[in-house]
Order: sequence, then structure tokens, then C-alpha cells
Amino acid sequence: MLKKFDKKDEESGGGSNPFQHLEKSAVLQEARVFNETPINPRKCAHILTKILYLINQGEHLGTTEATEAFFAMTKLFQSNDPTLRRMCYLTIKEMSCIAEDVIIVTSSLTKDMTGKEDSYRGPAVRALCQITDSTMLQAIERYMKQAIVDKVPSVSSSALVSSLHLLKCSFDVVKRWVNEAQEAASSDNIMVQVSRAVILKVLRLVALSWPDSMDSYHGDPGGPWLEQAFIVSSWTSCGPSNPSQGQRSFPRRRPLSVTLYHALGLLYHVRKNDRLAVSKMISKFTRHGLKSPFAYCMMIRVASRQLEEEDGSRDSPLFDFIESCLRNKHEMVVYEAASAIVNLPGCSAKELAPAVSVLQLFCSSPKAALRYAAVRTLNKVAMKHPSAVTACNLDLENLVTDSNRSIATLAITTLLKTGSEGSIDRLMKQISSFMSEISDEFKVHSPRLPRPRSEPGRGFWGAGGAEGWQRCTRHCVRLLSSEARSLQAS
Amino acid sequence: MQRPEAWPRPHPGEGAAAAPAGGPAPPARGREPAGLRLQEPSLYTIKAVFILDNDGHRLLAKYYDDTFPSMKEQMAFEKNVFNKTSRTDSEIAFFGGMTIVYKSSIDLFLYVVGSSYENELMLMSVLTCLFESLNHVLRKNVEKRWLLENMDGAFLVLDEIVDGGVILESDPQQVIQKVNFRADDSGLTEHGVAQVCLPRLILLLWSFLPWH
Repeated sequence: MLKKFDKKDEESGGGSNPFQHLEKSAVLQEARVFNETPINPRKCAHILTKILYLINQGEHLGTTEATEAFFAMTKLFQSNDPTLRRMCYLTIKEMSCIAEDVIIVTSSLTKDMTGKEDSYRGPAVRALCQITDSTMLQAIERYMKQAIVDKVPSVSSSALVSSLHLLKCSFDVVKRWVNEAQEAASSDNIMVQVSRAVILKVLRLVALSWPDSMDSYHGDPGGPWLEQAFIVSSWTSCGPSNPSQGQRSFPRRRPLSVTLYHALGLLYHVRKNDRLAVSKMISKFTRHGLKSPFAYCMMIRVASRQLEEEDGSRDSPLFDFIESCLRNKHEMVVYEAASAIVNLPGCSAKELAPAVSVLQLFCSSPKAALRYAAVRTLNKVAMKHPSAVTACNLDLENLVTDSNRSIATLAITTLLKTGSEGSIDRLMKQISSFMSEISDEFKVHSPRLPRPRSEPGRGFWGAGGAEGWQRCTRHCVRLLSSEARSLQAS
Repeated sequence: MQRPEAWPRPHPGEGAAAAPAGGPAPPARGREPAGLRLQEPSLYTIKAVFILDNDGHRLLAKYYDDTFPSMKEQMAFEKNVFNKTSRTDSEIAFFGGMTIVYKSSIDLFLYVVGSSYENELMLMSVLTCLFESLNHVLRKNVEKRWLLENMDGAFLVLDEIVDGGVILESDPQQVIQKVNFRADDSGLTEHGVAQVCLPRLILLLWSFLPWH
């Protein structure tokens, strides 16, 4: 470990900080030990950590010293210590902008990404793409294509995400890799990619469990029946089971779900200007089920974007898909779907209703993040359809006293739009205690005001009527922080 | 000067102007009513991840876009966020036009920052993954001293979770497996165990003394 247990620090009560007295030139001097053989992995990893820490703290490294340190670091590839190797990759990434001639490590990285050590491969891909510029793209293309369709999920994910980054570098070259990404994401080709042994295992297990089902199987390993069985088994990540033989399932194998998220994202980035291609992508992947909540969220966003561009009717299967996500088991997906529906232009109150009821449920969640998300979205709904949110007023009133100020503020601004007069009276009383906690330094200029909803000339507003309402509302809103206003505007 | 990770890319949908911290909010955009514009689907979901100590000083930070291009701006942002969140017990805040989810652990504060349009639960999943992974790597001592002593592990963990602003992995078990790093329980290689353990032992015994 990096230990330098400094007695002074302990006595001062600050706790020891092994990096406390780090000095850049001293650390870079230490880096010369990289040239020694045999390599001491722990020591070298510590030095790399110190360098990275310094950079992270804002220490400026000049080009020359950075290049020197970088070249010294390349010697460390001789060691096979996993932590040291991983630290090398991190150093390469950090120094890629600072040092010169960083492409010198390209061959080491391509060797690692095609090597036997799976734990090196993903990070090596990512490091490689960080040092690659547009001139080098051709050279690494075949490695990238192989990595994208690799059966190890971390390698595939790393390649997909790196390809996404490289799109900025050279769109056309990377677009050629899109076909490979299509393969990676497509469940058809995944069947082919994944080892035959697994496919045969499915068959054996099914044959044992359901002997009758084998009648339709004609022994063709590439046949559609097999594909279907495999799709089902892979996406549910456990095999078929026969109650009479006890629970029999595959060893729990994580489906390639996060990888799918990355593949979808990359595909969309490349094809977003081709509406037909996007439609095909959506229908293909929603058919098979997406498993990963991230993939679902991505798909919901793509579908709602597509709906918006097509100016599609609410009868479209895209809308049905989004609406079906309101019943997904992951809260993240449910929230994403509700948010998407709410944000779709031209939604009627009837279409909003299921989304709003889901958000209403979230308002009473014990998780602050979920309450915040719900009230923020309800606030947006209230801008255009205050009547749709009225049913949530009671839940929103509970949130006014939430310990989280952002949630309370949002609840108030929403209620100002949707509340009845009686509730506004209550709200005003609550706000007055809330006001003192808000700093005066926030500037507010007049936001879009909610329309008066109550009968003029009664209750809190006195005889002021609608004008009185507006004056009072302006006063309240002015007193609320700019945080509330930008929350409204976001 | 630390730059954001090598790809200066505009965060999709945010437009060129970044929201200045604490000032007036960005001007309303475009034809659609503010707040109802659909966000461009993108894998770039994370703006920044950082870990601060009890005094708001940076221990580890990664910025994934150009919202805060200079170190000075980054540090100012961290300071502001810390001031806003260190005293409250909540897990989410809105600041400077961005959503911030955070978690405190003993004497550390972990933050994940995303745009205000972002799915807050996504940000929470990254935060949870980061915390759980560190919890394992640091043998359930997610505190400043252990973090500093195992900074390499922390760097590796973060590298496996977010890459250039894209969520790479959200399952802590997967991250732990890939990083395959654990804090050295025996304490030290070069220095005696006593140099670390002894003060702790003394403190522990002290707390048991009857006149304490």
C-alpha cells in the first residue's frame, strides 16, 4: 500500500494522507524506477497512482516531462501483474492529451486486446481508442471490428462505447463498423457468435426435460427452432426446467444486456438521420425484450423521438411500446416511460392519465431521487395541463414539507398552478415559514405565471380578484429562489 | 491542467452555453415551450463524478464534457455543490442547471452529476454502483483514509463504471469482478502493522476505560 503513516497527521486529527506532501518533480523522478529490472509491480503501481493523483488534483505536467514519464511507463508492459497493467492503461488514457507520440503503445494495446487475458481486453480497447486519431483509424479498424462482435461482453461493450467516441473523430470510417455493431446487437447473429457448446447444451437439456418437444427438431443446429429456444433461454438467463426433476436451470449467466444498451446507442447515433432504419431498429429489438433497464430507457427515448418526428398518432405501436413500459418491473424504466409520455407534444389528458398516476405513486416513494423526479415531471405537466395534475394535489401538498428543498420548491410551484383556492391558502401559510430559509442572493425575474383558478374577490386575495391573485403570486414567486424558476424552465 | 477526458464533446441537447453555477438560469431555448422539448437520445448521460472529503476538498474527480473546462471552474463547482449538500441529508439536488445525486459515507461525499433532463434513477444507479464497488474494494471502510491508501483501486473502479460520460456498467458485482482489487488487509508492505493498527487499538481501548 501507499503507506506513509505520518504521526504528525494523526496527532493533528486530520488523518493521514499518503499524498499530502507529494511533489511533482519528486514523483516523476521516482518514475525512473520503471526502467529497472526486475519490475516491482506494487512499487510501480504506487508511483503510477501518485502521478494520476497529481494530474487529478490539477497539477500541470509539461509536455517533455509527461512524454518522459509516458515512455518510462511503456517498460511496465513487460510485467504481467494485472493491477499494474490496468494502471498502465489508465495512465495512457490520462496522458494521451498531455504527452507526445503516445501511439507508440498501439502495438502493445492491440496485442492485449487480442490476447488471452479477458480482464485486459476491454480496458485495452478503451485505452487504444483514446490514443487513436483519425490517421490511425484504418490501422486499428480490423481489431475494432473483431472486438465489437466478441463474445466477452466487456470487450464488446468497450468496443461499442469506444466506437461511439470515435464517431467524433471520423464518422465515415466508424460507420463502416456499424454493420458489425448491428451483428452484435442482433439476437440472430448473437446465436451464431456464442459458442456452439452452449447451443448444444440447450438442446440436451430440452431433450431431457421435454422429450415430446424434440419432434419438430430436425437436427439442424442453425434451424429457426433452435434460434427461438436460444433467444428465450438467453434473455431469461436460465434454462428450461421440469418440475418433476426439480429446478433445473443453467448456471446463472448474465445476458448481454448492458452490451445491448451500448449497441443500441451506437446504432442510433449512426442512423438517426435515417428514419426508416430507426423504425426497423425499434421494431426488431422491442420484439425480443430488452432485459437491461438502460436498454429500455434508450429505446423509450428513441421511440418517443421517432414519434415526435413522425408527428405520429397515439395509435402507433411506438406509443404502445412506451405505454407498456409503464408496467415494467424497473422503476427507472417506468419513470422514463412516464417522462416520455409527458414530454410528447400534443398529448391529451386521457393519454397523460396513466403517466400521471404513476408519477403520483412515486411522490410517496421513500427514495428522494424518485420523489424529486416525479415532482419535477408533474411540474412540467402542470404547465400545459394543470387539470391533469389536480388529482395529485394532496400528494404534492405532502411534499411541500419535504426535507429536500428542491422537492419542496417544485411541489410549491406545481401547486401554484394546480391548486384550488383552499389549498392555496394553506400553501401560502406554509410558504411564509419556508421563505426565511431561502437566500436573498437568488435573483428571479418574472416567470410565466399560472392562470388564476379561483374565484376573484374571496379568501386570501381579499377584494383584489384576479389582479390580486397575480400580485400575490408574483410576490410568492419572487420570493422563491432562482432554483425554483430554473427548475420550471428546465 | 487537467482536461476533461480526451473527447471534447458537447453534451447532446444542452446547446453550446453551459449553465453557470448559481447564476441566472440559461435563456429559454427554441420554439418549443421550455421543459417540453424532447431530449436527443444519447448514451452520454454522465457529466461528472467526484469524491470530496469532509472539508470539500477533491479526492478524485472525472469530468466528461466541457461544462467546466478549466480546473478552476471545476473546483469552484465542487465547492458550491459541497456547500449546498454537505449539511443536508438528502440524496438529490439541483444546482447550476444540473441534477446532482450524492451520498455521504463516514467522511466522504460521493457525487454524480448529470444534466437536468437526465433520468435521475440512472444517475442514482451509477452512484450506487460506485459506492457498492468501493465498499467491496475498501472492505466496507468507505472513508477518506482507506480511499487514499487504495486510490489505485478507486481509479480502476470508476474507470469500469463510466467511460467518457457513457455508463459502462451498473452492476457492482461485475465491476468488482473486473477490477479484481481489494484493500490489503494486513496493512502494509514496507511498514509494520503496528504503525497502523496500534493507534486504532489504543483508541479502542481508551473508549473502554471506565473513566472515559
